[in-house]
This record gives sequence, structure tokens and C-alpha cells, in this order.
Amino acid sequence: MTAAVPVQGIREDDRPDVVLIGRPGDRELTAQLVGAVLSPPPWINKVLLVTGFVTLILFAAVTYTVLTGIGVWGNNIPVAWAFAITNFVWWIGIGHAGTFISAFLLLLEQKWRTSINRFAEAMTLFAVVQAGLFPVLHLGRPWFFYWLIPYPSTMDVWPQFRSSLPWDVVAVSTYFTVSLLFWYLGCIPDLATVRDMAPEKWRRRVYGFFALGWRGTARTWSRYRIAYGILGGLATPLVISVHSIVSMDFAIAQLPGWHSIIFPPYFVAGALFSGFAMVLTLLIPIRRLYRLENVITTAHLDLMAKMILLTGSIVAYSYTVEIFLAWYSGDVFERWMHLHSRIQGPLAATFWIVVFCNVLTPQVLWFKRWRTSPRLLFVVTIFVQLGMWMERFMLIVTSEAQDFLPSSWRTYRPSAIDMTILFGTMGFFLFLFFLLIKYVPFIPIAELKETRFKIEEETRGGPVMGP
Amino acid sequence: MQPVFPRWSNSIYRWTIAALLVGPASFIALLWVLARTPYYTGENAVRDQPVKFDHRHHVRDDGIDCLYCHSGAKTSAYAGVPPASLCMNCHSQIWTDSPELSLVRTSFYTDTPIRWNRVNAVPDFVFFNHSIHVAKGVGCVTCHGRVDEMGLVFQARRLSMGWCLDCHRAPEKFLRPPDQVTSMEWVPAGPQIELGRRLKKTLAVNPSVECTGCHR
Amino acid sequence: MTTSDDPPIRARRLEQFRPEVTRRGFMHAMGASFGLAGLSACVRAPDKEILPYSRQPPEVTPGVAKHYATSMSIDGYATGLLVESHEGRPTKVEGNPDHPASLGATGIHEQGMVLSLYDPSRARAVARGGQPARWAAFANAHATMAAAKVHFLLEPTSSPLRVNLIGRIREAIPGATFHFHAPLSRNRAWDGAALAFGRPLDVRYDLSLAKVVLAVDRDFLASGPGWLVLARQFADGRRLLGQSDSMNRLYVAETALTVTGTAADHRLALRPSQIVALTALLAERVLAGQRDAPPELLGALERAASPAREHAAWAAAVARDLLANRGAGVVTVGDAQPPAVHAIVHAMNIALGNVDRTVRYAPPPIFEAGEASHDLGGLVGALAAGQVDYLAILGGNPVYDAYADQDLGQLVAKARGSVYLGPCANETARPVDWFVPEAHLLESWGDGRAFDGTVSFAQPLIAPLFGGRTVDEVLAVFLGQGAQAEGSHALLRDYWRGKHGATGFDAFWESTVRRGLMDRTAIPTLEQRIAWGRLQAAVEKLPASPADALEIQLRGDPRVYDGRFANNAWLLELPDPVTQLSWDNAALLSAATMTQLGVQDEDVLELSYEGRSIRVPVLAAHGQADGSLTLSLGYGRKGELAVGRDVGVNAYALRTSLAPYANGRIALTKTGEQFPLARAQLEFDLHGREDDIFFHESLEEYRKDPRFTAHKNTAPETLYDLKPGAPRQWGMSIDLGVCTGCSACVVACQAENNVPVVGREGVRKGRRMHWLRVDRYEAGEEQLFAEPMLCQHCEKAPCEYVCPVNATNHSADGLNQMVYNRCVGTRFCSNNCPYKVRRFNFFNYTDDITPLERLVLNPDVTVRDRGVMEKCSYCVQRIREAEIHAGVEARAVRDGDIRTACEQACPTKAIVFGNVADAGAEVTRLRHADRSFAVLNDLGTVPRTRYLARIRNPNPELAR
Repeated sequence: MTAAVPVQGIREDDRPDVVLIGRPGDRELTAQLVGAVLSPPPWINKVLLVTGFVTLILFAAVTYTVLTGIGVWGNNIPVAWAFAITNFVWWIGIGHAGTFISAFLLLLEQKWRTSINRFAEAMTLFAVVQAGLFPVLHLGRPWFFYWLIPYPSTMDVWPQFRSSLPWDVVAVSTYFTVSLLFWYLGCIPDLATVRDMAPEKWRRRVYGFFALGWRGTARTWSRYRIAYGILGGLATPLVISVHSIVSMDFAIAQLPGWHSIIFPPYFVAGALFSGFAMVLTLLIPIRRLYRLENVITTAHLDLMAKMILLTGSIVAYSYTVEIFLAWYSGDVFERWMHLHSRIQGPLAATFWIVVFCNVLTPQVLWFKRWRTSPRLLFVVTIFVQLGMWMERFMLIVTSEAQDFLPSSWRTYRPSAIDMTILFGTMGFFLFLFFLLIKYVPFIPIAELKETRFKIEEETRGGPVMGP
Repeated sequence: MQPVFPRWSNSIYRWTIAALLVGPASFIALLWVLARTPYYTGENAVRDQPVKFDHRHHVRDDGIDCLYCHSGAKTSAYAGVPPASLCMNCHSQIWTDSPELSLVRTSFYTDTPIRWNRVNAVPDFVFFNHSIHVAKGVGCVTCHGRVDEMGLVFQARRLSMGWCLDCHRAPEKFLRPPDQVTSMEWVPAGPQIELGRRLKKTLAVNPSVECTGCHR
Repeated sequence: MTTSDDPPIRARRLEQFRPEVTRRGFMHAMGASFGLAGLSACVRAPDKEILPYSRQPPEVTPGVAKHYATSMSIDGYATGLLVESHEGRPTKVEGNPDHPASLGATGIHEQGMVLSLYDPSRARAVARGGQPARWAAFANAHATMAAAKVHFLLEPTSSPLRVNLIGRIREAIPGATFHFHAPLSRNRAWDGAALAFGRPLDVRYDLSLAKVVLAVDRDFLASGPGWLVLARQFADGRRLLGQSDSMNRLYVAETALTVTGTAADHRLALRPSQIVALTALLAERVLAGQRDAPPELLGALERAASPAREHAAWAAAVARDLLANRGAGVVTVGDAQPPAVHAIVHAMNIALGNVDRTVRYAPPPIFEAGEASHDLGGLVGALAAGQVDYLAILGGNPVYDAYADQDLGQLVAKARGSVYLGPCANETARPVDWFVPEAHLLESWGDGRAFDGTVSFAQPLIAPLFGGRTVDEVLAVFLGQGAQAEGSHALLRDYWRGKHGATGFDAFWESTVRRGLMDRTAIPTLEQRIAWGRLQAAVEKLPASPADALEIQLRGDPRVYDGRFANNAWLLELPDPVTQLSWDNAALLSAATMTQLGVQDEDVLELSYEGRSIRVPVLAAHGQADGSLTLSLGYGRKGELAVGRDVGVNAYALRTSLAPYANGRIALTKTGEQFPLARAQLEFDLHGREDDIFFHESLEEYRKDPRFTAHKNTAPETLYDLKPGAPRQWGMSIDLGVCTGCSACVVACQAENNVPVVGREGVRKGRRMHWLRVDRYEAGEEQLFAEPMLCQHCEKAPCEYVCPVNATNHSADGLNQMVYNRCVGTRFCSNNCPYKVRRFNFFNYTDDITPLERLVLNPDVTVRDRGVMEKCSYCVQRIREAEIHAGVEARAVRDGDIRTACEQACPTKAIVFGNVADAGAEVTRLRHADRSFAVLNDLGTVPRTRYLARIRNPNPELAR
């Protein structure tokens, strides 16, 4: 971000409790938000080109892996899981904030959710797309992935339901499906708006196709509201369930460092932690580039910073509990893992990065003037992303590297392919994200108007007819 | 403002949604069915053979016992396809110049094997053992069908894992007295289940349903 | 594939492949590999063919494996074997229980030998000047040599047939001279005996009577003639089954830690020069009371002992212990020690009254042992003088392994004509005119004598794949018949008919071939009296001043021996039984010496001597004597070797006739380079986990509290019942007290279960596939314990409930089953296996191997595809086969019907497998023995594999 970002908002009335600045009329708002789609900034095509290229490299690496076998990765025995599962947990975790914001806050009727929910929800989808790549890819024989799904085979054999992996498949796919529907449903009215405002015929046809013939009658709106509410209700528990189940991939094992009962809440908190961080990482630059300070206000930044602080504290607490329990249990293996291996072992660096990024950095958010400084927030969120990836790496690799029998101890070094796939998914993620920015109104127009209406109701104490 | 799409596009939408719901389901169903069709299991598929060997003639007309040619079935995992030398036991005396048998004679005199086409093959990764089945009273006909009525032999049963388990889980449904193993016409005097239960006890039949029973 | 640089994967495809081989055994190998073809469940299985025999051999039933007796000779000493054959395709080697040198056990070399039969680098045709030629041409060209000065260079032999042929050749060709060469020959031992008794002798030990054993630089538990028997006897002497059982005691003095060293109760790490001195020191103590020993001798000994004075206390204690056990002790010394040391040891055994009780002397079975013909010097001289008309090198690889200063490679060219009978186009094949491919042992008829002289037969399991010939067949050519010369079968038969006489010969022949040996043919032992005078003279010549420079020890390698196994992928991949180093050899140094030299692991040193130099990576070795560097011979092979070419460095370059085993004058320089070594185990420290992993105790403590394991080794309480079992419940017991870590079990397992080879990179990356590994754990300065680790078949297996597709689960008879064809490769099971015994196919390790190499695959075991997990199955194929066999015979499975590959190979009977539900079974008895414990028992995995704690028998005088 080259241009200077005003630290204290842009309007005198931009106060941390204001989620919509000024009193923009419906037309004003529509023009501003649809404009982003109808006349996108020129730089976005370059961005798409670059990220698209990275995506191609990712697919190349994936194909190579499938053709030759995962021996092209750095994995070994004992470190049988490494980058693939680390990336999986990281991405799926990032995918959590979206649903939390759009569904959870919907049920809690939080106004500040409005202008960021579609954005966050889309981020969720794209993150889950990345995550979904890994459970299949990390298999020794990916072409048999469907054996994890229960179906009546001619072999009369079924999956092992005591394992967490078949549940993983269900949880992640459900989560993706519901999130997708929920997000798409939210888009429909705005797609219709674009359809109606688009000058070119092709736009009208394309957006019209996806708008499913939306007409915006009172009847449609009421049905729409009901459907939206139901899906929101469905999506909410998933926020908790998905990452709880993912955490079981480790918690049900007896490996020192995995064999822990606190994993489900710990993982969910960690997920939201990284999720909110990712929302901010993307939001802050976009907000600046599209001059959206009036709809994505300091209030939004402030509130999300608080969420990061909260979830971050839970995560920090979990670290402490883990180490304490290891010491308190007196178990020689747990103790070795938490008091030696992680802290001073061959991979100790990861532990200290984790502590710095996830425990120390968020502490700056105790202060309002830092919570409301986009630039600083941006830096903090980047650290959190790094920290959370390292946390998963530490959990998985460090634990595996030094387990029960010293004879099998071995450390781990990622291969070039490992790296390519990790950064490839980042490119793929951004590629999808900027596609969205370019073609879909990423600030929900209709809902925003609604919110503005509500605000005015509250302030004026009575309905006002637009425009 | 004129509509972007004609009226009939609504019904297109409805159909599309329907297809999205039904399509994947029916595709899965298709695979489910396919895996059970003779095409996939190879049932009833007659395979041509280099020598026009006719089981009807040798088994029914000549009354040659299965084990005369497939002697391995008693002692080995493989029932075995007889060596040309065995054919020559008889055919050095009869049909000595039949053109049908020329390949057998060349095989015997030039000591080169006849390349038979395999008919009955259990799935990959299965270690099937004939001897134990013969010893425990599983009839040839139970798995191979009425070979005595086959001109060219074909696979008579599914030979899938589920099919194996049908018997391994309830052998009494199929057991017969060991001396009747090679008989093609044998039918139980009384109800099969009772006979089966008795044989199961007397022959100590306790078929493995462990993975390593067949996969090693 | 990224592993394309891995030797086994790099193995070249074969041009001409013999169809009759395919007919014999290919159907089965392909059957297994067809499995791989059925990758996706969505396509129909491919149509297959059946190729029956056209004329079925009467003894063959397709699908039923047969075993044939044969014997394998190393440096002339034969060991009896039984080889498993599938439709004429040998796949697995076992020991011959009737054979005095095997007793049913085998070592890594016997186990690995079958792989060399299918070695793709084997020579395929007779060649003249590098051009393919025909055998007849060779034979006829060599039929008329009666007038020539023909020199024959053979490996040491004990074969009666060969000796007879040699005799006949000496008559037929007056100018014929015979030389015998083995790089690790026993000349020094024979000279030592000659020194003491006036004639070369072999020593025969009876360790079953020994209470105290002192091994001076002698790895008798893993090498040397009859080591399998010594290992068995030694183990029987310390197999504790109760408080009251007695136990022998082992003292070892050596430079580099050996398998025997790891089994010792007390071990002294000494530099080569000090070993001589220590022997003198011990002898001085032992002979002190000896009446007929001249006092001058004691003086000489005292002088020779001076470099080892610092160890006087140790020596005194050992001597006292030996004297306290007169007639129940054994002092044995390694072949590398100079003759004088051997003579001193003979004197000690006599003084200790061990002779005719635990120690006996007999003439060696080796032809012309200890005579000049066993010294290559004679041949070298003749060649240099140009007195050689024709040189016939039959077997061995002398150009590679002769002393560097003899430079045989150049001299061979000086002969006017030469032939080499060898396995492949190796170092020796280069300079000769004629090359004849040598038949593999499993393609050959022949005979030999065991360490005790018992005549042993070798019979072929398969017709020569590439028209190979045996040494006897080539020798017969020189008798003048040329191409009409008999084949080895006729030669052997005729010779023994001559010996036995025609009457009843057929029966005699049948039984000898069937059993693989001839009864009552052992060489009787002889009374000996020692020549004290000669001994004293020899001792006075011993150096009395310690060499102060770093001393370098050159030794035969535990894995590739003298280099003859250097192209054997199984043996190269096998981690060194002590250092756990796989593939290459390395310069072994003690940690102290390394800091002194300022080098780290994998730093490359340059060693140079007399203008020849080699560059070799450094490796820290536990128990290595300070100030010494140990380097294994047998690596750095050249020539057309698919696997072993340029693996490791050739230490023969430093080996001279004057300093064959130890050398203090080799210059070291640091190169600053690094070489990546493939170490199979990185961590040797137990981190205070003895009570979870490895129980060990002194005999004294054990007697106080025989159930000491039970107190600490407890399983947690559980809410769940164990599965209601089938009548048979399989389990295993491993006695750590007698396991020496020789690793025979590892190779046996690899051969039986089609365990793939992953190459140097694979091992380095931590992807070795061995189902059974031998872990090594340090305990203090002296001890490096061995613990065979394989699937424990936990009754509550952590791997089972985490597998999403049920690919690993529990059988009613207590096996932890692994179903390869159901596995999708999540590797969750490996993560959750506390023993880390599960192996993953990161690549497809078998699809690149040649059709020839495929022939070694065991048709009863699935060949695993890439992406699937695998592990020890308790040799389930043997279990099921035995059950089916019993079922067909309508009887129950008996104890001992089923023996796992590791159990069957184990020289010390440390591994016992069986039905733990059978109260009478040996395994049950051992599992309930008081030393019994389970590894990581407190995890509640309820392992079916249990261990017996290791009990040491330290000398109270030395125990600190």
C-alpha cells in the first residue's frame, strides 16, 4: 500500500461506534458499490494474471505428486504427516471467520456484520477449497479416496467409524456446501441489481442468469428472508463442529503432543483467530483501494481486532494448559515432548515463532489507537497468519519427530514440492478472491441499505421513506 | 425495462435444478449396479480356447473324474490345468491323428506349453486354496457350476468378495459329503441346512472370515 | 521418479531373457505383479493366460513349495542349507537342522545369497578379449596344456572332489602350480598353530561347557567358521529360565565394537597394538603358575605386555576368573592377530586345562592349509619373473582384493594367457584373455567340508540361468577332455562312486544329496603338545613399544564380508549390526578421537599410504577404541555392478602384505568435504526410558528379585474386555539376554516377505522398509544393547481404530492384520503406532525391477503397491498355510508347525513364536518366565510380542 492511509478515518463523524458513515441515499450507495463491478480498476487484471500463473504451478506440482507418489514430499517415518496436513488445518481454520461473521452474527443481529459478511463468507469458501485439496492429495492412493465414504460395496466392507477421518470428509463437505448456498443466496439480490444496472447486454445476460430471475417483489423478499434465516441457523453449529472434528484427527491418537482433551475448543478458537486475521489482511487493503472507508469503518476494524484479541487469548491460554498438563501428568513422554522437544529440540524455532506471533503480537490490540490503525492491524494479522501455520506445523511435525522409542526419532525437511504446493494454494486463494472482487458486488448492497434504514429508524425514532 | 430472458427460461431453470438433484444420485446408482453386472464380474463370459476341449464329452460321456486332470485341487492351492503329457495318456492311443489335438501333440513333443485362456479368476490380492475347500466338502459345482454341461467353460459364479463371504459366513448352506465333492448331479437327501450343520460339526468346518484368510 | 539415482531403481533392464526361466517360475511372480495391474476398482480385471507344464516333472505340484538341501562355502568352510523352491524357482534359504555347521540357523550371508542368483549384473556369456565366445571354443582351446607352466589361483577349498581334480591335474600337467587366495584368509591362525604345535591346526570350541569366555579381537558370535554353532552354544550357556540357572561370562578385548563386543559382560576397547600387549599381559598372569612354562617366556611376555600396563587391573581380574574356572573356560583370538598371539593363546588354553574339554585341535578341512600355496606371494613372484605360461583364476576376485603392494592387476597381463571364472564383469575380468561366467551356488553340483570336516553336498535348485560353469567343470577341462569334459553332476557322482564303491552307491548318493551331508565324516581331533621354546622366541620378537600415532584397523565387513556380497542390495541396505550405518562404509572413530581431530560425522577424510589414498566419510562409533580408526574392506567396487558399483570406498587400496590388518603409519588429512551417510538409527540414548523400553539387570540383582520386571512393567487398568479369542492365539517371545543383534532375522524377513529395497537416499530420508529392525541402545560406556523391533501385534492396537477404511484390524486369532489392497495410505496408523514399526511405500519400489529380479519374490506374499502401508504380519502366509495343511490332514496345528522367518533364521534361538493359548507351547512358557516384559506396556497396548529382560553377568571384581 503506497498511498498513505489516514489513521483516524476520513470523516469527522467516523467514530468507532459508527458502522456506516454519513447518510448516503440508496442511489448513492448503489452507485458506489455496483461501480466497483461495472468499472473495475485496471490493476486487477494484472493481479489476476500473476495469481492465475501461480495457480497453474500449483496444479503442475499436484499432478506430479499424484503421478510419482508422495515420496516427492519430505515426509518419512516417523514424520508421516507434515506439510499437507499442516496446510489443511491452517486453511480450514482460516475458513472459519466467514461463517462466524455471516451466520453467528446474523443470529445475534450485529449491525457491523452487514458490510463485511459477503466478503468474509467468500474468503471462507476459497479457504475451504484450498483445504479440501489436501485430505485427498496426501493419501498414498488418492484414487481410492471414496473408500472413506460409506457405501454398499461388492466387498461387503465399510469404513472404520471409530476413526475421525471419515467424519472429516462429512464435516468439511457439509461445511462447504452450506457455506456455498448461504453465500450464493446472499448474492442473489445484488446480482439482480447489477443485471438491471449493467449497460452491456452480455452483463445483463450473465448476471441475469445467476440472479435466478430475481424480481424483488415483497413476496420474494419475505421468502428470501426465511430461507436466509434457516441457512444461517444451519451454518452456525458448523462453525463449532468442523474444527472440533478436525482436532480429533490428533486428539484421538496417543502420540505425545496430540493425545490431549483440550483440542476441540483450542482448535476452534485458533481457527477464528486466524480467520479474523485473514479477513482483516484482505479487508484493509481493499477498503483503501476501493475507498470504502465510509461503509467499512474504523468500527469494523476495532471490533474485529477485539475478536482477534479474545480468540488469541484463548489460544495463549491453551498453550499454557498444554504445557502445564504435560508437566502435571508426570508422563515421561508428554514431559519430553512439551518441556524438551518443542522448546529446545531440533525444531524448537517453530515453537518460539508461535509464541511470538500468537501470544505476544496480539497484545498490542489492548490499546484502542492501535486497534483502529489499519496499517498496524495489517502487520499484526500477517504475524497471526504465520504464527497459526507454525502452530499447526509444531503440533504435527514436532510431535511425530520424537515419540516413544528414541530409535525411531528423526527430524523433517520439506522438499521443493512441499513448498510449491503451500505457496501455490496461497496463489490459488488470491486468484479466486480477486475474481470475486472483480465480478461480484463484494459489499452486500441490499443489506447495507436495510442497515442504513434501521440506523435511521433508531436515530430518528421513526421510519423514513427513501431516497 | 425489457426482460433479459424469455418467459420459457423459467422452466429451464426448474429442470436444471431437478437435474442437479437427480443427476449425481443416479450416476452413483449406475456405478453401484455396474459393479454387479456380469460385464464387470465376468460371469457367463465364454472364452475361446486354443484347443477345443469339451468338458461335456470328457466328464459326462467318458465319466472322467475332475481330479484326474485337476489333481492339484486335492493337495495344492491350485487345481491346476493338466500338462499335455496327461492328455497324451489317452490320446496316444485314441484320436491319435485328430487335427483338434495337433496342438496338444506339438506341445508334448516340442515341450512347449499350451497357452490356455484363464476362465475362473478370483479378484486380485486373493490367495485362494483349493485343497482346503475340497477337504471340507465344498463341491466343484458349487463354485464352477455345471462344468459337465459346458462346451467351452465359462465363469459360472460372481467370484466377488461378497460372494465368498456368503459361504464363509454360513458354510452349512453349501457343504456336501467329501466323497461327493466332484459329483455334478449330487443333491442332498434331506434338507441341506441340517446336513450342512452335521457336516460342519463332523468335518470341523470353520471357514476364516479374517482378512488374512485370503489377503496376505 | 526422483529416486532414479537410487542404485536398486537404477538396475538396468535385461536384453536377452531366457524363456524357460519364465515358464518355470514366471507365472507366480507375474501373478503377484498382476495384482498391481488391478489398480482402480472401476475397470475389469485384465484377461490372463494359464501356461501349464507340457511335461510335468513328477516331484512338482504347482503351488506346493519344495525344499532341497545344499551347502554354501565361505573361504572353504561349508554350511548346510535348505532352499525353498517354487516350481523350480529358489526363493528362500533356511538352515539345515541336520548340518553340524548350521543346526537349522543361518546368517545374513546365507539369507542374502539367493538374491545374488537373480543379480542382473551377472555375466551372460563366455568371452574372449571382451568378445562373446562359446564354451566349446574355450574348452577345446584349453584341452592341451600338458607342456605349459599353468598357474591356478583358487579360493581356499575343502571340497574332496576339487582336491581330487587338483591331484589329477598335477599328474596331467607337470608344470601346474596351485595357489589359494582369500583376502580374509586364516593363514595367521594356521601359522600360530604351527608355531605352537609344529603344524597348522583349527581350534574347535565347545562353548556349552564354558563358564568363562575371553575373546581377543574375535567376533565369534557373527563370523568365522562354525560361528552359528558357537553362537548357539554361547546362548545356551546364558539362557536363564530361573533364579537357579547358571550363566557364562564373556570378556572381549577389541578395537571396533563388534556383535560379540555388544554381547560381552566386560569389554575393553584397545588399539590394535595394545591388543597384542594385553594378550601378553593376560598370558603372563595365567602362565605364572605353569610348571613347564620356561621363566624366560614369562620375562618375554612381561616385556611385550608393557604397552597394556594401564589395564593391569582388568587383566588380573580376567586371569583370576579364568584360573578359577580351569577346564571350563575358553580363550579365543581373531584371525587378524599375528601368529605369535595365536600361539600365546594356545599356551593359555593349555595352562588353563581347557584343552580336551572346551578346546580341541584338529587338522583344518582346508586343502594345504598353512602351506606356501596359500600365500599369493609365490604367484606374484612367478608372474613378475615372467615364468607363467598360463594363469587360470577360478573364482574369487583377486585383482580387487589382493594386497595393494602386490598390484596383481598389472601382473596378470604378464602371463602369456589367462582365464577368469567369475560371477560378473568385475575388476578381475578386465585384464584376462578369457572370461567364463561362474555358476551360482544354487546352479551348481559340488561338495565341501564343514568346520568340523563333515562332508556337505551342494545341489542345484535351477539350471544355470546364463550357462555358468563351476570351478570343478573348468578344472576338468584342463584334464584334457576339452569340450567332452564332464559336467559337475557327473564329476561329483563319479568321484563319490569311486570313493564309495559301486555297491549300494545309488542309495548312498540319494540319501547324501537329500540330506546334504555325509554322516561320520568329521575330522577327528588330535592331542597336541606345545613347543615352549619356539613360543618364547616368537614372543621376544613382539614389539614392546606402543605405536603412538593413530592406528588404523582394516577388517572384513559384517555385511559385504570381503566384497563378494557388495552387489547384494539386501545386504547393502541392511544397517550395520552395530553402527546402524546402511549402504556405504565409513571411517569409525571414537567421539574423543573425533574432537581431537576436529572432525564431525560425515566429514570426509583422506587416508594415504605409500602413494595410494582414499577419501572416506567419518562416523562416530560407540565403543571404538580411542586413537584408532576402523575401516571395513569390501566396498568401493568397480566393474559392471548394477547395485554395488562405487558404494563406499575401497579400503584394499591401503592394505599391504606387511600391514594387512593394522597400520599406524597412514596419513590423515581433512578434505573439508562432506558425504551424506545413510544412518538407519540416529538416536541411541534411552533418555531414561529403560523401564518402558529395555529392561536389563545384573545376575546378582536378578537372583535377588527374579520378577524385577513385573514391578515396573505394568499395564493400566481397562474397562474393555479383550476380544473373545479363537482357539489359537499367536504370540512371540524375544530373549534379549541371548539376542546378539547379528541381524540374520532382518534379512530373513526381507527375503520371506518381499520387503523392497529403498536405496541410500531412501534410508537417509527415513523410509527404510524393514518389517523387522534391530534397535541399538547405549547403556554406559561398555554396553550397546540390541532390541529386535517388529510389529508387536497389540491386542488393543492403536493403529487399528484410526484407519478410516478398516485396512488394518484385528483377527480372532490375535493378529494385527494389514490389508494392503484396502489401504488408501493416510499413514494415520503409523502416526499412532508407538513402536513405529509400520512402513510406507512412498514410491512404487518394485515396478522398476527387472523380470530377472522378480524371480526372487515369494509367491505367497503380496507385492505391495506404492502408497500403501505395510508391516510385520507374523509371517501370516506361513500360519495360514500350516492351518490349511492341518485342515486337509484333519488334525490340529502342533506347536512348532509354524516358525516365522526371523525365528527360523535366529542363530541363538532368541525368537520363539507360537500359540500363547496353548499352555504347553514353548512360547507360552517363555512369556510367563520371570524376566518377561512388554515394551511400552503402560500405554495399554497389550502387545503379543513380549521380551525377556537382558541379564548381564559382570565380574564382581570389575563391576563398579
